[in-house]
Amino acid sequence: MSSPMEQALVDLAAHIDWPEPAHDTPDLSRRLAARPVARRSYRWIPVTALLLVLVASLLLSSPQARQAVADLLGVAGIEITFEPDPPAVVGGELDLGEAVTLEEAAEAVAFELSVPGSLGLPDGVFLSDRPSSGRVTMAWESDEALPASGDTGIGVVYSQFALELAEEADFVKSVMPDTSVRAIEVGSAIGLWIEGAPHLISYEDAVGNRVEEETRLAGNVLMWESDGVTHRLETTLGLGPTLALADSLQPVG
Amino acid sequence: MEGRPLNEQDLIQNAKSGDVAAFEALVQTHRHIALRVAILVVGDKTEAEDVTQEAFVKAYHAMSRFRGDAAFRPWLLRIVRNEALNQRRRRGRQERLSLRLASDPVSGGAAPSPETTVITGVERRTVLDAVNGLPDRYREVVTHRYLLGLSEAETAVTLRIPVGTVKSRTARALGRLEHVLTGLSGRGDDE
Repeated sequence: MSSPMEQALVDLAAHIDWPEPAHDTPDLSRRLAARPVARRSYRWIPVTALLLVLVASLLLSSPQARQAVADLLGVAGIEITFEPDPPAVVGGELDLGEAVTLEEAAEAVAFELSVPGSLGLPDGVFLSDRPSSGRVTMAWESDEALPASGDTGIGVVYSQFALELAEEADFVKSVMPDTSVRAIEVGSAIGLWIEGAPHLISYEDAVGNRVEEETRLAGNVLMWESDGVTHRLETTLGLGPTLALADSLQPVG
Repeated sequence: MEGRPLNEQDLIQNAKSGDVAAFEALVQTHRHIALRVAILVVGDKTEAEDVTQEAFVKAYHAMSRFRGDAAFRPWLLRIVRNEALNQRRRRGRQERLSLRLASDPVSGGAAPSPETTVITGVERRTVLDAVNGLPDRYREVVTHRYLLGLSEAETAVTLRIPVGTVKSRTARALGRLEHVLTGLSGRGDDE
């Protein structure tokens, strides 16, 4: 039997004035016709996708070149869009996931967590299900050596996740016209250094959920993959100090 | 059209092979609840309409990945919710749940039981406010389980959390609601 509280909720549900759908039938034919994109089936590994983004970024000298690159890569299964304005999320509330302890985070994901030894233990640890295999994000408060971005009070945001793309993932990278992307060696891995204006990378994970990688601090981002784990280090620092942080990574615990 | 309509399994098979009409028929029966799932996230009806239509398009493209042995409705609702969350993130601000209560009793349904007839609109508003005041993770399970009427299993798929988590969060949420509401009626004297 349901409790009085449950009965009250069921009663409430019966009295909610839900809006009716505007369309009698799902208005799909028109939308599907407007976007008859038969995406080819590609299985992109992250680094390949990121390197293609890099190639694109090297050719961004003119709007025409940008469009040409976007068209070209669109054919290959990657859409690149150029946004006139930064996404509204930037500078907004940091939406990093559920606050957890470091121990809880380590238990929740299948890979081994690292922390930059030079920063010490993080001031905040967050767990999110984007991608579905789990993402752990650590944040460090700003200090003299780690300038904060805006009024966030945060100096470093570091995420780790095992990137499993959907079988037919479309990988969308949105960069602002003045974002620069460079390939960088991070230890023995090839990574990306994304500097300048905010950017947004989005893709579908293995269970078909869209995952959006967005700039949190309006800072610079170093991204690389190592042993199946994607690392994303966002700071307001330059390349040198950020690489030093990456070099200082050590296993948690 | 006369004759027995295709059942959901038939429609799924046809939709998986790209039949737009089959897909439209498949989502037709779920469009009300899909809109409600979106409204719970984005708040605004027009925005929720857009989100729902966009999610349907994405679901159509994702049909080839839909496993035939899974339930279709929660799979679809999960895509809708996902799209709604993305929309809310793009917009960069969070809406509080703002549902309207019908002013008149719902007609055409079952006759109200004596217990429900004594529940006034004011009390319903109080319950709704208490639901609104729950932390996100509790509000989500309560709204999906009770306001949308999804099963535990459907709620789990839609919210992408384990069924056990749905159960435990539901129990905690009900406890909190009861605490809040009895706390209110404790000093209450409105008869």
